[in-house]
Amino acid sequence: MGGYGKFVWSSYLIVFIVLIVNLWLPIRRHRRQLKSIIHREDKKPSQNDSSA
Amino acid sequence: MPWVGILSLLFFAYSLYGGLIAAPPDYQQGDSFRIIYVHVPSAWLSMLVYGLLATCAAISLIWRIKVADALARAIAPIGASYTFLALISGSIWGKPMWGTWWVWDARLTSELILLFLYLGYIALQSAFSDRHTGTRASAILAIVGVVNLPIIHYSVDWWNTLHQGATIMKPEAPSMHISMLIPLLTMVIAFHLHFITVALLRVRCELFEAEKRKRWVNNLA
Repeated sequence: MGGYGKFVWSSYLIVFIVLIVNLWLPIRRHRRQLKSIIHREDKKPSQNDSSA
Repeated sequence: MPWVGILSLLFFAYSLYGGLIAAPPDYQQGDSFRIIYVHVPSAWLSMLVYGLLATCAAISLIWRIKVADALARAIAPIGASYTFLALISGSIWGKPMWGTWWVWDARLTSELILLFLYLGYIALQSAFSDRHTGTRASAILAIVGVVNLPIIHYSVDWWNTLHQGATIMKPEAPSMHISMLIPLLTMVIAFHLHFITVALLRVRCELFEAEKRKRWVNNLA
């Protein structure tokens, strides 16, 4: 890289880390959302049972 | 959605090969010019996403369309991250070429203001306990902030600045050799496709959050 290696590679590294994190965060959030909804649905019948 | 992601991956692979291996070093800047392949797409998208954000904010403010609000909420952090990347990669490029990480010149300062506009937009949304008040207040900030976009674009013409002038977005032909230009354009496409993928993923989360009490969300889960 003609002596500019540390500048070139560090900028590429930072950019691609941020791009990957951008992709990963909403995937993780969606998984959690699905889990919390499924968890809520599981709870519902037992609450109905206790009230019945 | 996965197809857009895969397509963006292909474009990234081709552009990285073209930009890091196939393109020759610049006759003045040597290999340090290769930072252009991540700096320019980040900077372009930082402005494009802000334009999109302001449009969505205006639509949600005027017509109260929920999807527009969800889209605006979803893309604001992505735009902020592109602005951050444009500033960081520019700073890393500035050190070997200009001899400094940062100067308070027009292009750099107006791009920094763009980052503050994004952060202000995100902060205002969560500053109110009522979601609608937050949406309206932040939408107004987003619309007012549009004035910064032409300032960023024309800053290199209006003021004396260390930053170079327009290379591609100008009336004449681009002042870049084709072997360097093609990887840059494909990298811009790769960034756009990546943005679409992330935006769709985030909008899905926003809509889920807003509609989590509705039956269709439960059916999906």
